[in-house]
Amino acid sequence: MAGATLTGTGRVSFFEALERQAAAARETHGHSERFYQIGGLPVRVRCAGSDGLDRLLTAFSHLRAPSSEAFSLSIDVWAGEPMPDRELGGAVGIRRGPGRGVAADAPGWIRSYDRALTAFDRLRNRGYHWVEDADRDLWFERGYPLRPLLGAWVDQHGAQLIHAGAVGSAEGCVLLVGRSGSGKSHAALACVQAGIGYIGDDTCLLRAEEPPVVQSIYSSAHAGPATMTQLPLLAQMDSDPTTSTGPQARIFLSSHVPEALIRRAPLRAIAVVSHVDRAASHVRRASSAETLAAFAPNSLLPVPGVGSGTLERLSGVVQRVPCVRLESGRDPARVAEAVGGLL
Amino acid sequence: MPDTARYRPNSPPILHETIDHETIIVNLDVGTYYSLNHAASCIWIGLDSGASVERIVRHLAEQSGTPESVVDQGVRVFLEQLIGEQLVVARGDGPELAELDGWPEGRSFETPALSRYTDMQELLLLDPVHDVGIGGWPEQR
Repeated sequence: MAGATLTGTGRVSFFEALERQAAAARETHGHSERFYQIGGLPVRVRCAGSDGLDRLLTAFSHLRAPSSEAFSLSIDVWAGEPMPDRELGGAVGIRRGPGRGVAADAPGWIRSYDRALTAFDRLRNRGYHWVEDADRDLWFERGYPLRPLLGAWVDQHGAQLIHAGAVGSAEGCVLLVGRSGSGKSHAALACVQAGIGYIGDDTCLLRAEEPPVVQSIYSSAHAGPATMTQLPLLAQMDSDPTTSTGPQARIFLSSHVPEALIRRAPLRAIAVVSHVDRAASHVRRASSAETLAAFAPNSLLPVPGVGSGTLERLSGVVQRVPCVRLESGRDPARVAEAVGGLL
Repeated sequence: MPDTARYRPNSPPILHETIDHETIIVNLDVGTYYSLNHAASCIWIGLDSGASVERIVRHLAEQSGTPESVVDQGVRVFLEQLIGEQLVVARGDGPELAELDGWPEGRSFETPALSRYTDMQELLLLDPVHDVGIGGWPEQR
């Protein structure tokens, strides 16, 4: 369905309307206010209403920062009333498929579902995240909350949200890349089991500095049944069972092993992860192009508004660090040993 | 298609990067991404640089020592794929590229290959995102 433009006096600033609705929600329900350092920048998050909204932020707990008058991004989260204007949404319809792409210089974007809406006001660095019911509609994103919004924002500030895990220490880290299901989370958690520091299992921030730098954004990890069985350290770490999704367990490492969390580290190598059906793990050389293909598309595509500059920055990074294939075997200790050899 | 036809990457919404004669292409609108082998990357680089199809065919034939008719067949099949996937569009008038490179002299010609990946597409087809214009939302696209 094509969009429609309100003309003349009917033209409405959607973001002004959202700002009023967020303010009304804070006034009606009361709100909590928290500050974080995400990508090294101050972020304010205000949640109006229920505890369900506060639980959304558990994954950021390792990045808590003191209150500040100055922040680079402010996000309002609320549920229920007031709902974003559905009449406007009905008039416009929702565009899916071709034509989805958001121009890199667009002043903002909206992602709208039946029961949720996320919007990013790029010009004023304001984010909005509304759901119809906090308990029902937010549980699935507790592991990696607000990802598209944060991805679009950090892209304006010289960092990229990437689909990758990362482990190491403050002196250096390895990026673990590959498609969903390739074994990144398993490799990352095997490293935690072996005492290697944790930056992320699925999502990190990458800065194309010299040397490139990886920053943590989420303290969460997801582990399948096999990983939970193979890594005894995880047995006591499951999240609230009512919020674990499907066959995977969602774990918040900040709640169990906060000392293992690394917030920032220079990048030493990139490993393209794949499962192999043998005990041993092996590391082999990978081409820069193969490595870029292993994480660039699935890092870029979910983030509205990325442009050619983002892909160019990622390309520059893979050409500056060693790239390898990590054939991740069944023995987690040997996975960790293989990764540790890259640090 | 005429020999002097020229094409360019359909950017936006296409993003592309070439490293060491391997190219990846991402279609932000549709959610598909592609990798090109060496021969396909050379053709892609040539098109991106403004070379005509004829010029690219001649260069690859000369450098690889392969009959032009063989190279021409491979290039045109590949180009049809690029057009079908909406990765390239016709290029307007402009100066012809002075020099092509990218195919090592003496290296055998290989069939240009485009590998297509759609694992992100399903996720994105369910993802309703649209721009907000300067005047607010909705904004006619």
